[in-house]
Amino acid sequence: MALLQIAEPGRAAAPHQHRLAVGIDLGTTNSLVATLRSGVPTVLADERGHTLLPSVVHYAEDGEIIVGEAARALAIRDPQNTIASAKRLIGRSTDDIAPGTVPYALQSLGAGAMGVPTRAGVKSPVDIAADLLRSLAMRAQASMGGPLVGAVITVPAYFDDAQRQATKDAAQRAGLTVLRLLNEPTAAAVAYGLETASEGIYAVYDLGGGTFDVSILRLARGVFEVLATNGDAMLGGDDFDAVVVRWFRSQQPDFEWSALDAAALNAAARSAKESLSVEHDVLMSCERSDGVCQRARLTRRVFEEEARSLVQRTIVPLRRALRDAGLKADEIEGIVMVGGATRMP
Amino acid sequence: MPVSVTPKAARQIRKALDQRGGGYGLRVAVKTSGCSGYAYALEFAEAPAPEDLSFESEGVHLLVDAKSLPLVDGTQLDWVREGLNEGFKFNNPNATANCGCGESFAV
Repeated sequence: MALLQIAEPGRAAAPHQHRLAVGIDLGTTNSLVATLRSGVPTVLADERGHTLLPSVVHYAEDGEIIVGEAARALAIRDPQNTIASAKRLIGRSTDDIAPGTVPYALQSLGAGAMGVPTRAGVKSPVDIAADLLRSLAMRAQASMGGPLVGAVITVPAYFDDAQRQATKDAAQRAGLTVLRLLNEPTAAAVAYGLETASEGIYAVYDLGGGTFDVSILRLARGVFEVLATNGDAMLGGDDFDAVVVRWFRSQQPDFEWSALDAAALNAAARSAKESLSVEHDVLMSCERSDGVCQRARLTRRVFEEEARSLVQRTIVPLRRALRDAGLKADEIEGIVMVGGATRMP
Repeated sequence: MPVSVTPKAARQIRKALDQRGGGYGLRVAVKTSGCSGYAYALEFAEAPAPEDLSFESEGVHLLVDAKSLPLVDGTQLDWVREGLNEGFKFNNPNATANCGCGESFAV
C-alpha cells in the first residue's frame, strides 16, 4: 500500500493524485529515469518501449539535438558532433584530464572550465548533461501525464563538490528541480532493502557500461556511511563487447573489417553477450561489407575464458578499497551487484 | 477500540501537530474512489464534529466520522519506513483486497 501523510483539513489528496517526482540514474554510458507508482519503483520507457537511454548527444546540421540510441548510431559517421561519456568530464577542470584519455578535442572556456567544439558551438559537460536530463524529463512527463515537481539524481560516491554542483547546474539548465543528490552505492543498497538489515559492512560492485566502481559502505543505525571507494574508470560492459568482437574476428582472420562494419559488429557482439545471460550458447551472425554473412557459435564457457582477464581486473580495485577501509574480505556482510554488466553469467 | 495507533505512529502524529503549531488531533476518514473502492485519508483536526466518534489511543485524539467508522473498525495505524520513503500505514482486518496500484482497498 502507498504510505500516507497527514493533510490539512479538506486537503487530503484524492487517491491516485500524485506530486510527480522521479529518480534519475545519470550514467556514464547509459541513463535511466524511474518513478514510484504507489510504492512500486517503475523504470519509464520511451515511445519505443526502451528504458535505457545511451548517454550520447548528437548535434545535427539542422540544429536538432539528438539524444540516446539515435545519437549513438551517428557516432561512427559524425564523431566530432556526437558526444558520449560526458560524465567523465563533468565538474572537472582542464588540469584534471590527462591528455589522451578522452577522445575529444577539449577547448578551454577559461577558469579551468572546458568544452568540446561542435557545429552547434563549444559544448560544456554541463550542457551535454542538461541535454540528457531534458530528454529524460520529457520522457517522464509524457509517461506520467503531467509536469514534474522534481528529481532525485544519483552521483558516484567519489564525486567532489565541483562535480556535484555541476550535476545540479545541468539539472537546472534542463528545467529540473533537484530534490536531492544521492550517492549511487547508497541508492543501490537501499534498493535492495539493506537499510532494514542489521548493522554491517557492505560492498557495492557496480560494473556499468564504461566504468567500474566499487564502494565499501558501513550501515549503522539505519544510516549508510561510505568508507572507501575505488574502481577502474575505463572498464565496463563495452570492454566485454570488445572481447566478443575480437573473438568473432579471429574465427575468420582473413577478412578486414572496416569502420562501418565495426558498428554493426559491435551491436552483434553486445547482443550475443546479453543472450548469454539467459542462454548457454548463442549463434552470432554479422553481415559483412563484402556481402558475406559471417556466423559463429559462442558458448558461455568460451566467453568466460575470453573475458577472464577483464573480470580479474575488477578484483584489484576491490582489494584496494578494502585496504583503504582497513577491512578484510570476511568482514563484508554482503555484496550488492549493480550495473547492467553484472547480469553476465 | 475502533481505531488504534502504534506508539511510533502516535509519536509521529504528536510531532506533526507540534510542527504545525497545534490542533486537536487526527481525523481518519475513508473516501470512496480508486480502482478497488475505498481509500484512507488522514487530516489534522481542530475540533470534533457532531457526527464524529471521538476517542483516544496512545495519548492522541482520534476522530472518525459515522460513515467511515464501519470501514475502519479494528484498524491499526502504524508509522513505517520503506526504503527512502516514510509514512503512515494502515493494518485493516476489514480490507479484503488491495488494488493493483496499492492506493485503495475493498471490503
